[in-house]
Amino acid sequence: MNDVHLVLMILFPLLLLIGVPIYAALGLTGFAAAYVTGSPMAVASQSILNGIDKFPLLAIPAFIFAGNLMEQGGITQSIVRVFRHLLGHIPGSLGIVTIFSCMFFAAISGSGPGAAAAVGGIMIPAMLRYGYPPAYAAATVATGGTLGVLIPPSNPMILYGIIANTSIRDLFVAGVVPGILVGFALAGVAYLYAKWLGIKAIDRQESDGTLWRVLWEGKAALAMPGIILGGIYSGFFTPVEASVVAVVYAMFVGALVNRSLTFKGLNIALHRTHMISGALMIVVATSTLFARIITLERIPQILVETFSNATDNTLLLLLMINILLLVVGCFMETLSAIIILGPVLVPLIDSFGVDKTHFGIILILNIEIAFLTPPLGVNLFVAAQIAGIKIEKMMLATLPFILILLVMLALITLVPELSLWLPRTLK
Amino acid sequence: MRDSALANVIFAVLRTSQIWASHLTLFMMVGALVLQIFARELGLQVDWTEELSRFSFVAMVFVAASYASQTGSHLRVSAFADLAARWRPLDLLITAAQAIAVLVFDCLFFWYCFKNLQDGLRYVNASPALNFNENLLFIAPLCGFGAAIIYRLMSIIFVPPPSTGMAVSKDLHQ
Repeated sequence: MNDVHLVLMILFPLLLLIGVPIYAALGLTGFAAAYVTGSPMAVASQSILNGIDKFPLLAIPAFIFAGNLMEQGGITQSIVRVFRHLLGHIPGSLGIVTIFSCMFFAAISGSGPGAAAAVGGIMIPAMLRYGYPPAYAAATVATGGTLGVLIPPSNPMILYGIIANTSIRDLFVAGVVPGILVGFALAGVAYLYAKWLGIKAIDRQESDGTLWRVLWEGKAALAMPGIILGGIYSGFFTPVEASVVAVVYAMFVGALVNRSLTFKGLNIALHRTHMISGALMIVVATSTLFARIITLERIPQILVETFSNATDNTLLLLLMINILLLVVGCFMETLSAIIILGPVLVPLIDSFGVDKTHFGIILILNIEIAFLTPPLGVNLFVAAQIAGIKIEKMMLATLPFILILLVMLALITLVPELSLWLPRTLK
Repeated sequence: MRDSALANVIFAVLRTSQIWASHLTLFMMVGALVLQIFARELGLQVDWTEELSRFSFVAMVFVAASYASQTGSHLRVSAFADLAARWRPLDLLITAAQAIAVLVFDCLFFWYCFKNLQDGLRYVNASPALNFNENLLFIAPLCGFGAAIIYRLMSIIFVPPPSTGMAVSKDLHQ
């Protein structure tokens, strides 16, 4: 064990334990590691800046802004009214609606935290308004948001496709069936959990007008996913561009259609966007420096070598890789984890005869779970920030969702056809 | 801790300048990407929009992150710190350790961004479309974290005025 290992194993956990902001804990650990290795410290600050200089990341603040504009512009209320009419008689309906909305947004955003922020900005205030426990509201949004990376388009899939030299189109298609399966499983958990918590159904009588009237009045809000999805799949704009289309559309509907978006509301939306995205993106930035130190110390390679020496059984290897990914995912930002582990793991699974597309879906599912595991569970932070609760408080509420995600991970690992059937059929 | 009219003015200037810089860069990012969509559909050559949006985004993140940190919106794991807060001497120790850790990081990051900027002015790294020296992006963390350092040092002596009431959690609970 060298000095850097000591820094990583003592300083970082200690800083987190005493409640130092995560960005400062990651950054200080990175600077300390650079110092003990004698690396130029200026390179550490370059790594932090380069950490956020990635084009796909632009979608995150834009979707956060769009979500806040939708709340201020009365679009949230329209959506909630429609779903109250459709699903209000089911206990925990807003939890189910959150999961399905996240599935919908997942097909727009391609980013886990982006989906959580966009849907969370709408659904968490709605759930709180209807008396749902804040921990349940935040946990549902954080979990639903994870679908953003599994259902295409998905930024991590693009990155993995490039690293693994495999078809991105195949990866996108392979994510459809697991994405739908996981979405329905999470909606089931949201329903059962709400029932267990004793959340009552929303009385349909509270709502005014017929379903058709509610649908007609909410048409501008309901058209939004259609415009975004249609725009992406027709090739009119990219997912990052879609995020700013969402901003412009939310402004247009809020200000001119609903006439609810005032300058005060715009100011509040801007403030919230800066606070959430500022707090979130600096963690992504500093985690790049942290990931760099881990890479230079060859920690992922050492772990992988240990696993590959331990067995020649494919299933056991996948099980061990899953465990490794789950552990690494706790401490490493998503894109960094793919960049670091992808080149190491792909040759390993390839030598065991595992399909690279299938492994891509397994990797993405692990990333989904990593979004929910502290200390770097980004979706936890997004949802906790929006709900205004502490991460510790919502972690317990997230457990049932994590358990079902682990079950789905095992199922998708054991049954490759769930991922590979659709790409093979469409070939 | 003391209260001072001049200190309040400095706190207000710091907050206002950061929030307006964040507003401006966010709108530049959104505007550039919207322009990119329309220009492509109209067949116009505006290959600089992607660079402008990316640079605006980087600038926004560092200024907004500093602002978020000053308003207490930063992300942290607070379980142990909250538990320790029940015992006053430990609470004081942990609060001091947190403040020192954040200040040390802010100062280190500020200083090495400054060094990078110095080098970057000598060895230009021009972007392909805008021909913009990308090393100038270090100005964003310099401004953001420079303001954070001033804020934290002043907070040791003066009481910072309360936030503008835009805190995320409070508003969403209403």
